[in-house]
Amino acid sequence: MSRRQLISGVAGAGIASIAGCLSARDTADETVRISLGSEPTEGDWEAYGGVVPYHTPFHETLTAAPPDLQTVEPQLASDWEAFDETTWRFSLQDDVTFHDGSELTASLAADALSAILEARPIGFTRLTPDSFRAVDEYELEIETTQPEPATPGNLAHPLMSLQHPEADEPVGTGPYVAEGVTPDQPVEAVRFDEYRETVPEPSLVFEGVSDPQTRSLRLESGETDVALDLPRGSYEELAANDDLEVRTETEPRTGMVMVNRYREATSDRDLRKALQYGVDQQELVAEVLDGVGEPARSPFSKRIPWSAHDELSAHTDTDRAREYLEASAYDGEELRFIIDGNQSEQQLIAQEMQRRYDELGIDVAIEQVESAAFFSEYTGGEADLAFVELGSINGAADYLVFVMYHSEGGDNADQYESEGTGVVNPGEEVDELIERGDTAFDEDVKHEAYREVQRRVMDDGVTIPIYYKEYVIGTGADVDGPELHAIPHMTDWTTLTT
Amino acid sequence: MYRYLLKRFASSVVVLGAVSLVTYALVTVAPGDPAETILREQLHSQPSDEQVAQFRAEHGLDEPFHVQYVSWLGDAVTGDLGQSYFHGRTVHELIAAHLPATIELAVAATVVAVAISVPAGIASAVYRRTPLDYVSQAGALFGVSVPNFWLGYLLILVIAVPFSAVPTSGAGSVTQLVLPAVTLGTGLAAVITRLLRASLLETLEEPYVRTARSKGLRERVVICRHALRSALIPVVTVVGLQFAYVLNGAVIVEVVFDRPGLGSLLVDAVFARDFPVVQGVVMVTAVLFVVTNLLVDLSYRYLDPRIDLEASA
Amino acid sequence: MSAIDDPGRVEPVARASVRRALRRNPASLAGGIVVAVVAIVAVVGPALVGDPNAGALSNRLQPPSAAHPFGTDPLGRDVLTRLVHGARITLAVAVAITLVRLVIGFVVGLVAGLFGGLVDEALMRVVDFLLAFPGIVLALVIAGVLGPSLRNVLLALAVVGWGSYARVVRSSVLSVREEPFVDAAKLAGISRVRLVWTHFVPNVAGPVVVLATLDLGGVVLAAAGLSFLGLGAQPPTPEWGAMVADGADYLRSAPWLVNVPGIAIAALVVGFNLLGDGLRDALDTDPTEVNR
Repeated sequence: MSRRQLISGVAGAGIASIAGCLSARDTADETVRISLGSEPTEGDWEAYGGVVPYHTPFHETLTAAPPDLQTVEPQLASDWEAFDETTWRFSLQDDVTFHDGSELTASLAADALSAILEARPIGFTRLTPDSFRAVDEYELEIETTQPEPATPGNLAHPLMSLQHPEADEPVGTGPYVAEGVTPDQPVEAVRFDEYRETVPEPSLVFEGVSDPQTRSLRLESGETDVALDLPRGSYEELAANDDLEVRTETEPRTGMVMVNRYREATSDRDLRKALQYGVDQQELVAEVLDGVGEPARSPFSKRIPWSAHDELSAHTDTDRAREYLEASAYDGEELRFIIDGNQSEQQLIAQEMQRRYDELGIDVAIEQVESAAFFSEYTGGEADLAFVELGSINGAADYLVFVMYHSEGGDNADQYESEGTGVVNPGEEVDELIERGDTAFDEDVKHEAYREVQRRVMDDGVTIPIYYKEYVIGTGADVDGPELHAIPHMTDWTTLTT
Repeated sequence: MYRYLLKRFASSVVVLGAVSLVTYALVTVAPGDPAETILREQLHSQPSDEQVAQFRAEHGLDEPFHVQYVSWLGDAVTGDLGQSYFHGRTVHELIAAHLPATIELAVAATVVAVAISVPAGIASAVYRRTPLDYVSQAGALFGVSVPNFWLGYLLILVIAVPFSAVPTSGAGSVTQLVLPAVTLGTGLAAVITRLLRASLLETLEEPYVRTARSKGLRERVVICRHALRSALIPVVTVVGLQFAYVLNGAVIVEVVFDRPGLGSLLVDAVFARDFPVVQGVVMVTAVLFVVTNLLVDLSYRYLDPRIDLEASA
Repeated sequence: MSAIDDPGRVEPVARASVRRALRRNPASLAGGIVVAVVAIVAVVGPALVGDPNAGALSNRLQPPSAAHPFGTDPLGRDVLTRLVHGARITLAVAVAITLVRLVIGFVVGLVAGLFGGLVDEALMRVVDFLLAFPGIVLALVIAGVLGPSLRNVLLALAVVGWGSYARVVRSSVLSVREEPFVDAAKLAGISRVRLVWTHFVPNVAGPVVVLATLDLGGVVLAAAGLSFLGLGAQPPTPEWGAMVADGADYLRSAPWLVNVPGIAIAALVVGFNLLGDGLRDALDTDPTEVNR
């Protein structure tokens, strides 16, 4: 082959591939394009037919959390009751069909839920693959390993979605049917005609666009109709655009700085209090977050029913910070402040905090750690301060309290077991309070126990709550809805029309 | 010739073996436990010790280094690069899915580069020391000096935002290829323009070109028919060898324009500590590179028999 | 034999011709000026402009004005001040990387050239590989796996980039070895090491300086590129590549955050390239020739 032939061959192949792309372009009019922060097929989601249950409307759960998260509502189950401390009875609706036409019965539901837990143990529940048993055609019995009052709420978690246990494709009971799933490609969702309620006409296309700035640019240029989790930096720009509607909603999620209670310098409560009082949440949210978010007072977002937000006071007081600092044994050593490298807003907040601490006379060094190594450094007690954003995508947020502040919770267990210490667990009394809340079937007892945990934690200075997260969703002019949900993963896409 | 091929083949195998060993060793010394990270991502909560242990066992992470490496290498030779920790797909599938976008980008960037550099290089050499030459040389200088990540954003600002016909991101259509190809192509164009100018200036001094001129042939004919042909030989070789440049550039350009290519796959995998994917992409890059180099070497021999391959091996 | 006793012999000549050539070539002079300006800013600037982290949130994202010629960033910090401090970091990192490359390349080239045979063969295969393999890809993997920090970026880029120096040094060693005075020196009982220093170092200095100058431009781009991807400087360090990456979130509302450091990087690289081209012509040596 001569050189010229070689080159023309390469050029030809290039043109062919370009032409191939042209014809592949989506031309249907009646579709609404939705840009998500990650690929709707990315990850190991075999158990759900290859789609991420957080992002797609193909599956449903037994229970559901309403948009304000105050209660737990029926979805596939119409009713439930606690039979004894570890046994639940769920009555299923009798008019539900899967996308393949099979009818939802208790035994099918039991198989579906067992398969989900078989594929992957789910850490925040006390359920195992053997927990589910059909006692009647539509009567499902669920047995927990320990008493778990939060079971109905936990079952609203998208991970607890019902996928037909025999199907390889996404086969659920949701309002939309998946139109072929190719890994790392957008997923098309078409109306499910046999759905219990009416579903609007247009098909939905869910695509993953990882960069927030790109999602925003795509929305502006009309390449997409709906974009989730837009960057706060371009919020005003987008809001001023008449062709777009931009809305925000507070999530049950808090951005906060954890102060390690067991490191040499920060084991001093006075220093922790100085760090706590030295932060101006109002200003950080208004300026750095462009007003998108709410200044936080508790580690648990005010969207969570038992948040103590309303009774806690704002912890911003430079004078008190000075007093505490003077009372402390702090001798000018450098505190290590780790942040997750992927979070540019947290990076800005951390830098502003560093500046204020510097004015007070506290020396802080910021270190960006990749997401991958961040949590092992945090739970390994390798930092004095760590910026975390934690929240619930669940009807019950009980597991959050346990993970964060119980000595045997995920964040503290490593150090607690190896060193007898922990990271941010204030100790036995708080452990007992958490256990009391966690096992209380009486809502009032639960709420009071969890509120007391928040008061203690704030008093101890192990956490500096910064903001309750608000997510930004943008929609194009020819789209109405969707209704917003506190948890964006639970958005009801049938409320979206053209 | 056979001896030469055998020798080249042997050295290629050594290179590939070394690359695989180095990348494999590198990722095992990395901080952070992939098992815990990945489970946390999937579960949205802290995994239990049993879950971590189960994951490590499933992915062979609790074996000693040499056992892991040998078993990975054995599979890799048969084309099985393992399973992504994170995507729930084989590395082979992932690379196959991401390679086309990078190849498209490479081809388009080369087209852009040739379209800019060939006229610019000719003009520069023919109108040497004229404003045209200076403009072309200055352009080439900026082409090699401007950081791709900034040029990309600049193009988004001045082209994609005002003209909505040009998309800012993604892959799949020709329009989505425009900005990335221009960003990557300008740097490539700069290299080729400089080379073509130098090469053409050299050829214009060759006796046969002077003869052609003295015969009274028109300047255009002299340049097109005689000088350009031989001046293009080194240029074509360089274009062929720009594979490394394109991959370097793809890493950044694909991130700026959010293109699902090999470069962004690698960047994501590095940050996610998805080591099988990192190893796979590096190995595929190494194989592509070894093959291209071999082909270029062989084409030298074919085009210029004076080169003694025995000696240069 | 007087040449042996006068190791600086080549230098004055080269220096004079460099001056002359730069005067004749205004483009390289301009390049030299750009580099000199950035170098001066990097050395004395930080002391003049004050704290790069000072600022108030009330003053954030101000467009360029008399008070802030390059505007302010999302934390109300003056971009010009950060740019000046960043010059020191950016330049220091580039010079450090280049020096490490040079040292590794020098040693490898020397060993390969002096020992020859199998050692030479093995080392040159490594060099071949480094020269043709996409360096950013390799550096990305090294720096990424070691964890993000400027030190790791420095390490990664140094490790992948010494190939061309090794080749230049090796070919110089080989050419010096052929010279008749080497045999003469051997007869005179002068040691091999001393011979290298007296003859070979002056000989190789020119090509290496040219190579390093041209390389510096590429190193600035590569280091900024890795910082852009999030592997380099830690906040609040105002490294130029990291400044572009941080500004990208505000591309629409505050384009100066991306453009100011972007232009600064481009200008510095243009400077190094022009200066390198000029030096190459002046010293009449083309180290890139060996590297083709």
